[in-house]
Amino acid sequence: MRVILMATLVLVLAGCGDREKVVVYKQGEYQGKTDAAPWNNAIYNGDKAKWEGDIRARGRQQDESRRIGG
Amino acid sequence: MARMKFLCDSERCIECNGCVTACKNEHEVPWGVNRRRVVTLSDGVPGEKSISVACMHCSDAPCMAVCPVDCFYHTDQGVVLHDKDMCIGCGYCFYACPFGAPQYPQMGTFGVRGKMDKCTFCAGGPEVDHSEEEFKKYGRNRLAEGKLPICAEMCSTKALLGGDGDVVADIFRGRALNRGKGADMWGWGTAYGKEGAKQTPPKDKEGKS
Repeated sequence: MRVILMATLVLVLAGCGDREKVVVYKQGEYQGKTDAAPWNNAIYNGDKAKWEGDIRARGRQQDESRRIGG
Repeated sequence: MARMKFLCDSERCIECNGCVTACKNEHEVPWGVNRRRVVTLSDGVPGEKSISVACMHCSDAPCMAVCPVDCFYHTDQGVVLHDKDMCIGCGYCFYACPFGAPQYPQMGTFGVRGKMDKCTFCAGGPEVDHSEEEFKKYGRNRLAEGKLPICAEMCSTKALLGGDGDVVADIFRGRALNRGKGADMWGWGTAYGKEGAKQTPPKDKEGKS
């Protein structure tokens, strides 16, 4: 009987435990998952310069006067 | 590299909503959430102006300042993103945002507010690039494919420009000088502050800056 009572008490008390939801909390700092740079993937293989060049070229394509030579 | 920026040319926007549709389709955005929308000023009055509005990825983003769980971060390219796993859907960012960008899905029981959703500049989020997880939470990651946001690339009149701030400002400057009017860079002062003001195009023929 005593063993059952002890076991029940242990189980009941275990429910009172409150763990920290955030391991290290720093006010005003992002603590979520890290995000990879857009060139760190299978397409660019870490080639930052190529990615920047591609984005700039793509941006300039928005200028229709450049595309039609006007 | 300069930071990523959006610029909407109100002289060119024809309120076709192509940007809105392209965004919804590209990212399979849920019902009731509009990452981008077109706002018309003085609707029906001669001289009305339309502007395509979404998250402007502000330099000093107010959403980041008010978030109680600090789920926002700035990428090195100046894109404001957030971790949906941390978001509690409190709605503070919606009240802080001058552009009304944060959106909340209300698919739950009793219209309960879900985790915030907003324009990602087609840069995905804090998940493995091009993974199913990233697509489900944040939409497609076009930036990691070397492409610009779909809204800007789809714009038929090229009113909406997106990409490197210097490139975008150069294109707009050329246009404003060429047509001699409409040099207002809507929302740039609010979103990019002094940095944005530096890229204000020269005065037009009417003397307006």
